[in-house]
Amino acid sequence: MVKKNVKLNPMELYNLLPKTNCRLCEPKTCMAFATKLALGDVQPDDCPPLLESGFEENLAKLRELVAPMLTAEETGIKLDEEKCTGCGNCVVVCPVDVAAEPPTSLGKAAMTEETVFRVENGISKIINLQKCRRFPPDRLNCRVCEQYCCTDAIEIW
Amino acid sequence: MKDLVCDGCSLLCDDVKAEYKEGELKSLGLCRLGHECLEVALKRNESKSSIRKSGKSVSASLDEAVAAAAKILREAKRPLVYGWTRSTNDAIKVGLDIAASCKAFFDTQASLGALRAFSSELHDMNIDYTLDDARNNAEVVIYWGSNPTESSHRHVSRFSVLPKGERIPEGVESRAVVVVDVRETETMKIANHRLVIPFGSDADIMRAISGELTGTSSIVEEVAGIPAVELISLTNKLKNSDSTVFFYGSGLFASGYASENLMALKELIESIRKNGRAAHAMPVASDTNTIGAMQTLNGSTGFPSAVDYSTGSASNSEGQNMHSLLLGERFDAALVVGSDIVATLPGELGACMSSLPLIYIGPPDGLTPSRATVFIPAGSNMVLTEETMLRVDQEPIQLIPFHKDGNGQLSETEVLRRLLHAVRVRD
Repeated sequence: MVKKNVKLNPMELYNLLPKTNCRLCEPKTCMAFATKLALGDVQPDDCPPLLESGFEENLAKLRELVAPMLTAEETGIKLDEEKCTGCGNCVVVCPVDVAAEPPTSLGKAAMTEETVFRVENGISKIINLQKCRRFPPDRLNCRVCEQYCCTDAIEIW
Repeated sequence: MKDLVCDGCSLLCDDVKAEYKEGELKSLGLCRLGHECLEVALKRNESKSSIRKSGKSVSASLDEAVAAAAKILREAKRPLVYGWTRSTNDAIKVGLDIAASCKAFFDTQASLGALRAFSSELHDMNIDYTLDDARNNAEVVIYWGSNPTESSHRHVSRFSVLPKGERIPEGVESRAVVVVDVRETETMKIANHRLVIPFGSDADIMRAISGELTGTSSIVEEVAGIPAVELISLTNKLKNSDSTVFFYGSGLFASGYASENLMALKELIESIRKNGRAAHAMPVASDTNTIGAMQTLNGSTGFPSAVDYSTGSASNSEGQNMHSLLLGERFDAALVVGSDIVATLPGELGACMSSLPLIYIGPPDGLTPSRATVFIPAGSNMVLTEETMLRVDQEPIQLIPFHKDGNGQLSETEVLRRLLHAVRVRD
């Protein structure tokens, strides 16, 4: 069994992309594509220019970098309440939260019980761990909450 | 759960809820600072007024304390009225009436730093940009000498970096984040560009970027230890960004190089605009109503700070400020509202303040109540009032009374109204 400890650096991925911002992919810009690539939301083959001649080496390298994510099975997420300031960064960046309670995408505090994260009594709480995209059925290598937690209160393994 | 407005910091979050039952507070959306501010205010035991007699502080009724405070102010030849950056605009206006009635010198804690920026050419007493503008438009977000992770917890998530906006469809993925500071900060974790610069080099770096932007000079080697390639990359971001915002902090205006830094920032913004791109600046203020204190004072008297009523009407002598007057022992009494100034003023100023007959109106926590000649407790604005403060972007935000009982304590404004009445009604 392979642990899901894959942490990809979006800048490293970005440097292997064509960097033309051709807008042919859904994220529209190469930086946005690299970020989604690091999270497992897109695959290297979703970038049309990468499939053209001249980018073979970059494509191969990117496939190699993201490959471990495809076999990941074990995961976990921990929130250190001592470090948490209740800033709500995790609420606003979590794709599940944004879908479950759309005003959070505009920076509003989560108020329903449908989100993964909700700031309660001054501290972020994981109220629906089972909805996290790292768990089945999605099993995505999403680490966006950890990535944007300024105080390192969130740890994913 | 009831709606409320948090006055824990200058963001004045109004999308939060809380419930207080049987001594237990539950909140949704309040950050750690906001929740703790509310909890402390709600769980605070009822505090009594006190008057210092023969060196000892003795309990007094509210009426007795107000009468003693009014006597001090009436008998003083040159009283100081000070504080206000955590008070509502309504309270500040009553404070100005008190200052006028006793021919006092009125100033706010904003004069310690934020005023330097607000009254400089960078703003000219007006912030031409809102936090909602930042959320909707800002493609490049620059924190310069500010660390919102410590001072304004929800700045990043609610407005500046993470949320989606009208022209920011992908949220953070549609923005670039730059953090410039003299030390590694928590906010740097989410930055695309992290510049740890030597103390005092802010203006040099800004001017180098300005020159590169306008073509008047080129960055060919490192500036203040920052590699040329990093600065050129940042410059290219600024050239290509339709909207850039600088959220600057006390690292810029309270570092001993305020004038130079603020002028360099103004020039940098003008350089970006010369390229046909939008650019704006906004402070990251920690005190709740720092902007409101300056604006209310400016709107009421025509001066944003240091208003002297000694001649019977509001005047402002250039170069005259509370700090030099206090150090020069020019005051013979002080009324301080809402700020624990004995704890927060620089040591020498705090000692001078403590040596005066001191009236303090505010929460009972901190050093100032224990040093005051007359102490009159006031309840939390977040708990009690429906008065108005200005968010850090000058947006007026009306508070929502959360728990009107407030442990039986009056609001600052109500205490000040009683004091004003007592000052005006002479014995």
